Amino acid sequence: MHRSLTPPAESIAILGCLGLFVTFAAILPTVWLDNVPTLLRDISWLGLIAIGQAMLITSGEFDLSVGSVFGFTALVFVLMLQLGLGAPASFLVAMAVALGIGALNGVLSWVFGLPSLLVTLGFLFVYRGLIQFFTGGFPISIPETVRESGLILFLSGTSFGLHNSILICAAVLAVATFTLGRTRFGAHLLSVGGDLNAAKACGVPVAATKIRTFMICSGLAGLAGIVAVSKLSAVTATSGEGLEFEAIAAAVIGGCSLRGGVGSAWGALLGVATLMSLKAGLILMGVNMFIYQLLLGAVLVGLIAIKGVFPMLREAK
Amino acid sequence: MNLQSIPVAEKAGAAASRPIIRVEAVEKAFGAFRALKGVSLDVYPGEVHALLGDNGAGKSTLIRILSGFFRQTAGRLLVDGREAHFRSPRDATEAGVGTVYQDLALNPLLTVSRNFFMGRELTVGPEFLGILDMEQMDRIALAEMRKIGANLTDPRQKVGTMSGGQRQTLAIARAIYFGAKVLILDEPTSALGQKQQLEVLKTIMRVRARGDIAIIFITHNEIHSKLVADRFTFLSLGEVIGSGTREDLEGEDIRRLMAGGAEINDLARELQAAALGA
Amino acid sequence: MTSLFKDRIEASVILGAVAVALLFTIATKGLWLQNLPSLLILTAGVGIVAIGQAVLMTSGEVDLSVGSVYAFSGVGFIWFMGQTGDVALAAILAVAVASLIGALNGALTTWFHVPSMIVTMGGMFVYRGCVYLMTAGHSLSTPRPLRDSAVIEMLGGRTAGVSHSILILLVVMVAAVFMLARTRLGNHIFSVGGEPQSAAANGISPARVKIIAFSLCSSLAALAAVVAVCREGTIYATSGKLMELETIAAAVIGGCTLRGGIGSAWGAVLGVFVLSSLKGGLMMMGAPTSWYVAFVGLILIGFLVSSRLVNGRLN
Repeated sequence: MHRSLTPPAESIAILGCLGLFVTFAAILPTVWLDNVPTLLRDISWLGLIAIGQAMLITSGEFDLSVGSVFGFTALVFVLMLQLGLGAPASFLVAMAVALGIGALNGVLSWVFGLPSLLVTLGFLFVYRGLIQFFTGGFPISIPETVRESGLILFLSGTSFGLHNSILICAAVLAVATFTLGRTRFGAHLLSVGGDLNAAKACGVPVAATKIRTFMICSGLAGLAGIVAVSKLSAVTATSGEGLEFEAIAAAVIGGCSLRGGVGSAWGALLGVATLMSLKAGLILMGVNMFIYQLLLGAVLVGLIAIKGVFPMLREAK
Repeated sequence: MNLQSIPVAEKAGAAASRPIIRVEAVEKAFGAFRALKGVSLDVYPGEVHALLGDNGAGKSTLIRILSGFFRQTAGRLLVDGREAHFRSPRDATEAGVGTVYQDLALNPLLTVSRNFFMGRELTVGPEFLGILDMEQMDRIALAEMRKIGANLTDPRQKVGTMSGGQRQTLAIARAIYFGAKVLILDEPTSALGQKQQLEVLKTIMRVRARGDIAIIFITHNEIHSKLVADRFTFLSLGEVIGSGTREDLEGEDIRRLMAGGAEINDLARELQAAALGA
Repeated sequence: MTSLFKDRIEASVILGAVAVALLFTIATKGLWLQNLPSLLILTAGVGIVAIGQAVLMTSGEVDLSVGSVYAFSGVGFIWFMGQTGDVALAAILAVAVASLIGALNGALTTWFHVPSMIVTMGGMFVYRGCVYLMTAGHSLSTPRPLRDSAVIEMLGGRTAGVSHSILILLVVMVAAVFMLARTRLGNHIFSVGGEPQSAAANGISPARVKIIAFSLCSSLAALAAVVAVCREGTIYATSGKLMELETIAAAVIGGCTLRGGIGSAWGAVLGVFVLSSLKGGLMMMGAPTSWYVAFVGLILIGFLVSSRLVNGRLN
C-alpha cells in the first residue's frame, strides 16, 4: 500500500483509544484496570458488528438495521432454545435468519435498486417491532436447563482469563482482514466501493459482491447478538437499540470513508475500542449516559468535519 | 514532428470586420505539463469556427479558458477588442461567452421553461418572495426555441421526454437568450444518432444565419465540420497545426490535419512497416 | 397525456388514503368517522414535520434528526417561556434555534460531501441526549402563569370544534405547495435535487439551496413542537421518537424519492394521514403498539418495492 506519505486512515482511532485508555487509567487507576476484562468483552461484542459494518461501508453501502438484527437474532436463538431445539441447532437457525436478513437487504438494494439506507431504515423498525411484540416488554430468558450446554458455556465462558467472545472477535478480525486484503472477494468489495462504474466495466460481479457483504454484515450482527445473549441470558425489548449508530461511528473513527472504497476491519475494531473506553470511563466516573450519547453524536459529526477540513486525513481516493 | 502551418487567410470580403474573440498566443501549463503552447485564433460573428483535434490536443483546455474555468498562464484574450480577464464561469457568461457543455446542464425531471430559466427565473411581485412568472417564462422559452427551429408546442413538457437534438436546441437557445455573442458547442453531435446529429447541424446553421453570433464548434467529426464550418483551426499537442477558411482548405488538408498533421500515406507506410516487422 | 391522474406522483397515496378511509368506515360500520377529528389532530402533528421532510427530500437529502429536533424544540420552547415570560417570543426563539440546527446539518452535509442520513443520525443522538438531560428523562410542562395566554390559545385552541393544529397544517401545506410549484426557491429545490451539476452550471448553488431546505425542515419540526406544546401543555423525553421514520415513510409514499428532484408536500401530508389511520385502526383492533412500528417499516419497504415493480426497472 502506498500510504507512506499520508498518515494511515486508522491513525485517529489509534490515538483515540490509546489516549482515552491512558487518561482513564490515570484518573481512575484501580477501578479502570479492574474493569478491563469487561471492557474487552464489550469491545468484542460491538466489534463484531462494527467489522461487518466497516466492510459494508467500504463496499459503498450502509446497514442501519444491525442493532435490530442483533436483538432479533438473539431473540430467535432464545426462542429456539425455549422450543427445546438444543443449543447447536438453535445457533444454526438463528444464524440462518441473520444471513437471510442480510441477503434480503442486499437483494432489495441490488436487484430492486432501492437505496440501502432507506431499506435498512425500514427494517430497523420492522425487526424492532417484532422484538417488542415477542418480548411484550418483559425479558425473554434462556431456559435454565440449557444454560449448562457446551455451546452456551463456550460462548459465555472465559479462557486464560479472557472472555471467549474476545477470541471469537479476534478470529473474525483475522478472517476479515485476510478477506479484504488477500482474496478476490476482498478485491471486488474494495472496487465496487471505490468506483462502482469502473468495477462494472471491468466485469466485477457487483450485485453478488454487495449481497454477500450485506450477508456478512447481518451475519456478524447476529453472531454478536447470540454471543451477547449467551452471557446476559435474556433478550429485552431494547436489546441492541442504538448499536447501528455506534457501529457506524466506530467504522468512521477507524478510517472508513463514508463514500466507500476505503476501510479496514482492524480500524473499525480500534474505533470500537475508542468508543467503549469512553463509555466505560464515563460510567465509572458516574456521568449520565445521555452525555455519552451526546458525545457520540458530536464525535461523529466532528470527525466528518475534521476529515473535510484537513485533506491530509482524508483518504486518498 | 510534422509541423506544417497554413497562413491565416485574410477575412474574405472583410464584411464582419473584426473578430469578436481573439485568442493571442495563449499558453497554459499544469505544473511541468504544457497543455497549450501559444495558441492563437480569431472568431468572427456570423461564422461557425470549427475547432478540431485529437484527444489531448488541448481543445478542452482552450474551451475552459474561454469559458472562465481556467486562467491562461500567458497570452491574451480579447473580447470585442478589449482584453478580458475571466475569474469565473460567471464572468465569461456576462462577457457574452456562452458554453454548451456535453451534458447540457439540463434537468430531465423539470419542464422546458423551468430548464430554460434555471437559475435565472423571472419573478413577479416582491423580489424576496421569488414568485415565478410562469406565463412569461413559458412564452419566452417557446418563442426562443422556435426561433432556432425547434418544433415545440408545450413549454411544460418534461425535458426527459425530449430527443437529444431537442435538448441540444434548448441548451443553445438558452445560451443565446441570456446574452451569448459567442457560443461554444462542446462536441454537440458526439452522443447522438444520425438523425439527431442532422437536427443539431440544422440548429447551428439557423443560429449562424442570424449573423450576430459567433459559434465555436468543437468536434471529432470531419464531415460535420465540413458541412457547417466557415473557418477551421486544428490543434495538436497544444499547438495550432493549421487553420484557414473553407476556401483555403482542400478536403485532403482537413483529413490530414485531423490525423495530427501527418500525411495519410506516411501513416499507411508506417503501418505497413509495422506489419512486416512483426 | 390520457389521464392527469395517472402521471401524478401522488396517485398511489390518494388511492391509499381513499382505500384506508373506506375500509375502516365499512369495517367499523361508520364508527371510524367519529374518530376522524382525533385522527386529523394526529395527522396535523406529524404532517407539519412531514412537509419539511418532503421539501428536504425533494432537494435530495434526508433528515433523521427531525424527531429529536421536535422534542428539543418543545423543551426549548418551554424553557424560553420560563425565561422570557412571553409565549410568542419563546416560540420564535425555539423555531430560530431549530433553523440554525438545520443549517448546521446542511452545512456539514454539503461542505463535507457526506450522506445526510449519517450526519443527521449524529444530530438525532445529540439532541435526544440534550432532551433527556433537560427533562431528566421525564417531561416538561408549560409554565402555569402562561397557560391561558392568548398565543397559546391561538396556536393550541379550537374554533367551531376544529383544532387549530389542523388549520396550521393546512396553512403550512398550502404555503409549501405554492413555494415548491411557483417560486424561485421551489424551482431551485427541484433543480438541485434532480441534477446538482446542472443546477450548479446554471449558477444555482446546491449547497445554499440544500442548507435552506435543511433549515426549513428543522424549523417545521420546531413549529410542530410549539403547536403540540400549546395544545397538550407537555413535552416528554420520548416525544417525537419514530417521527423520522414516519415522516420519511410518509414523504416516500407521497411521491418523494431518496435521490431527490421529485416530491410533493400534500402527498406527504396524505401519507401521514394513511399512516395515522393505520395506527388508529391497529389500536382499535387491539393490536399492541409494537405492531405499528413494524408496520410503518414494512409499508416503507413495501412501497419502495412495489413502485419499483410497477415501473419495471429491475437491475
